[in-house]
Amino acid sequence: MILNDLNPLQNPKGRILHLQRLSTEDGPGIRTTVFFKGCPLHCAWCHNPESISPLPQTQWYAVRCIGCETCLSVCPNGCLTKDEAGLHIDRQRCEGCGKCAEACPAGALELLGRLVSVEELVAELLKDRAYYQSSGGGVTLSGGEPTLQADFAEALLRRLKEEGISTALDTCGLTNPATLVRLLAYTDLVLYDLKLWEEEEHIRFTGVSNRRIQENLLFIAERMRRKGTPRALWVRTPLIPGTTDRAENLTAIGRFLAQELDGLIQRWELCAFNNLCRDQYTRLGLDWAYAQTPLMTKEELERCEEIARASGISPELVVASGATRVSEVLLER
Amino acid sequence: MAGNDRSGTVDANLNLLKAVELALTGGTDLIPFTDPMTGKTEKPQRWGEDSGDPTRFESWEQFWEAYAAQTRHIVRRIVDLYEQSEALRARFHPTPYLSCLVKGCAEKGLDITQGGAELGYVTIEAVTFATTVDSLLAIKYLVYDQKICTMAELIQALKDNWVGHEVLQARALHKAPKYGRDDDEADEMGRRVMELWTEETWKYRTRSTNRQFRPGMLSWNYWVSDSFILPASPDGRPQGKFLSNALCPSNGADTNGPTANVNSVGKVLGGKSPDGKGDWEEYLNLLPNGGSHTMTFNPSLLRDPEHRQKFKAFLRGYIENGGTALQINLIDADMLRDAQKHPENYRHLLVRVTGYNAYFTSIGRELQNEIIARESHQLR
Repeated sequence: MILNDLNPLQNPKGRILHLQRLSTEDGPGIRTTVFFKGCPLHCAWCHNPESISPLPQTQWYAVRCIGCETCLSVCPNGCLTKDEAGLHIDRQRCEGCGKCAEACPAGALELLGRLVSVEELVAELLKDRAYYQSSGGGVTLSGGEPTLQADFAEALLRRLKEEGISTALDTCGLTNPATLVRLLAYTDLVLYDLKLWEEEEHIRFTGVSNRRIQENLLFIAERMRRKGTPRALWVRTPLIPGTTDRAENLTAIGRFLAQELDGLIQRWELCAFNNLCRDQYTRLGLDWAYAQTPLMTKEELERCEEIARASGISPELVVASGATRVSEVLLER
Repeated sequence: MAGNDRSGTVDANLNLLKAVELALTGGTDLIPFTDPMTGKTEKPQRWGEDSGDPTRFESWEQFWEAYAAQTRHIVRRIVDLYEQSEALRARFHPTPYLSCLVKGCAEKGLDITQGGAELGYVTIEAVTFATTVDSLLAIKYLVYDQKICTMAELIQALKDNWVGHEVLQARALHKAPKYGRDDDEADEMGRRVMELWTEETWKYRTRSTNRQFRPGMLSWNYWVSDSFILPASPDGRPQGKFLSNALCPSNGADTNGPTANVNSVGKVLGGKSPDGKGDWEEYLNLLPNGGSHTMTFNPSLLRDPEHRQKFKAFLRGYIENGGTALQINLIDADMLRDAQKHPENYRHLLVRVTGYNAYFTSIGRELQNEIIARESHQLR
């Protein structure tokens, strides 16, 4: 059984999606971001749908397929069929064994979620040490949710600190404080998501209550005050049209940050909605509620910034990021 | 140098891939050459080394030895060819006015075309480095390591320009290792290729003027024009698809991003010397006449002061890891439109949105259009 692989006591292995080298958006400096697979939240707008399931998954790139049908005969469970519309993966039966991806000559089938050991991952991450050092960057654990693979995440962070690499933990906050204590011991920066303030709304759009998430943020703040670790904290809020970008939501989050995290938080980042992941949903055979939602306009993004700056938090801490819509005229060119 | 130097930058261009072709045939052209001017087809004849029948080789190292013999041969051949023009100039084309202005000529009593200048290097600029390295990696992977095909099958596929061998071609393109991914084993092949041809180059001086040959890598446009002359290559490239440019990884091969690309280039240039004694500080440089390395970035990387600082740090890391000269392009909308038409050349192209990257060629048409519009916007 696949889940057992994740939990040996020694030499823990982790299931990761991929590494993003020269990452410039997940903390200070030049970083490599490790995307963990598996997340306890199911946000309706999720930008990385392949990171939700903790299990390995197979995906097919139509544009890369050469139609050789090699994959059809290697699948041990007969999950693959092909017709005029393309290749179909029976997701109920696919165990993510990766045999089809291995056999595919064209790289059109891909196994999402490979199992790696701490040592092999660290060897990869250290290849960009020169850039971390020249930029004040480091390694960010993201996902998915790194705290779901706590043994692996802890061992990875510890090894990185032994190597003198600066570390960041990007978390949704839904974990237990004991796990946080283990990971924060080796974490320099926490990137913490606050999405929706109202509990009911949070349950409706992410599938879980946000009480534990808010408590854990206070727990981290307390730890920073008492022990000085982690050294830095950034809070991030995705701006989702009609839900998180509403004025009362941003104001409530901002007020909380101003009251509870004054002097601790370095940055409140507002990340504009993006729809680039539409094809990822298609490749995984999933529908997406936001498939037709356009990017925000520049004016909408600026409105959110203004609301956030007026919420009581020090205005200079508010940073907006992400792309906005451009006029249709340009598309015609 | 100004005032005492008669060195050229692009005196002769050496196409490294030809040595792979000659090793695959034992010294002849793989396919008959038809002169585009006269329309005449020449009969293939052995003009390279007799390096043996590769279908009888039992190990990768045997193939490497054949490749090495052919590389030494083509370097020798280009040196001989260059000698002819050098000797003609020395004998029939004196330039007395210039010779008066360059130190060494008066002292030696020799015209500048006769080797009078104090300094004088002849540069061989090798082209098609990455396609050569990737071809060797593919041969090793397909024939010797994974035994996916025999040498005879691979040679037939190349003669057929991969037509009818599409599955094997896909494996060569997508499964064989490639230079440019910061993969130590693949980059070690690159270093071996680099060491071999540069060491051979340093062995020669012009006989008529006593000028030293030295290595560099600039491709000019030969990576385009030669691609129509050379046959299909073992890395999966069909005839007519562009060869690799200068020191750069093959188009689309550097799938691990810019830092991996740069690290690979630093390694094949020589990297840091193990004993700390390099050509410049602790660094080795196998291409003293320069190696051209071009990279393309998304303009959003430079969108604000914070990101400009990050980019500066990237350039410092480039030097730290052994790079010598980088030419930087920012992606423009036209290139993105070309990527829509020819996705196979752009599989590495990352576009960035909110804390999130996507491979441009793996997303749908409609979204690609959005990004193109955005890029057009950013450039205004």
